[in-house]
Amino acid sequence: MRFIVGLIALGIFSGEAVAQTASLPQRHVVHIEAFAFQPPQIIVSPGDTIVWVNQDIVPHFISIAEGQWQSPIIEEGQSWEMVVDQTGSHAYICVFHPKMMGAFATN
Amino acid sequence: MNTFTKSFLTLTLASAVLVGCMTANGPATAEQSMGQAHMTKTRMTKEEAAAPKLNDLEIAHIAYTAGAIDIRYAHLALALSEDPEVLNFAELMIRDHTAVNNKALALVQKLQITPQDNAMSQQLSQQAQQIREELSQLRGKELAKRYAANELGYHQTVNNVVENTFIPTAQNHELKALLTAALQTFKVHEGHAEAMNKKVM
Repeated sequence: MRFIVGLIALGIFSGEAVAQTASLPQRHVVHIEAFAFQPPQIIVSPGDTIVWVNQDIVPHFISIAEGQWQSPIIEEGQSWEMVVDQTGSHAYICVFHPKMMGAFATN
Repeated sequence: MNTFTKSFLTLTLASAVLVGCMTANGPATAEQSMGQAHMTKTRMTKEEAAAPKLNDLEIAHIAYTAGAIDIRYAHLALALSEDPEVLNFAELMIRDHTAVNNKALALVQKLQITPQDNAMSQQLSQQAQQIREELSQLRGKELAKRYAANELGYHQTVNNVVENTFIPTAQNHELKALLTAALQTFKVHEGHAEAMNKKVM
């Protein structure tokens, strides 16, 4: 028991230590705000999750890589997430408001 | 600039004066409103400075009415047009304006207020009726072009009013925030309308 407490104190079992482990999947949040994706471009690793959060008052609808992946309609305050399972660079738009553009690329 | 846009623009310039007339002398008639609208810009500016401002209940009513009008234009376009640009735009208008108006209704319920009908809302509705009658007589390319032109003019005019009259005038901070978010949406629509106009020519 003292051994475990000691490990926690050293940060080995802490969230910080886990987050620093490069091989673990990460979550990347993209805010949809003022009819823009923020940040507009992100670098991810295969297995990571991207979460799009709609902070606008109207619905949005994301289409990635010309429809290869599509979100459901994301209403105000809702989010949609996708696990990145392919490498490469992928552009996406809001189908409803096509001037809204973003992209992600795997490292 | 189409007839509706001209009328609404001049009406907008006169709105502060009109509300002042309504407050002091009772509701102005549509004819009086249009008469006021022919005043010069210099004259308007002087009177605007002295006239009572729109109150929040009137602003809420006008903003909701403007959204509802555009939704009705969109339903008409969906029923009569086969142009894909028009259909896409009309669907966008229904989706976004419904979302904004639902937010407005939620705010009204939260604040337990009743938006106040007024001369500007009535004028908007009368003008919209005329536009719908005009649109309903058109088909094909003519309908697409007229719908697109009307949407561009309507959004330009409404955006100008929301930005320069409603937002600075609104007192309730939640109403002001909603108008600000709505303006962001309507400006995106204006950009879409510009693109639609180029495509239906």
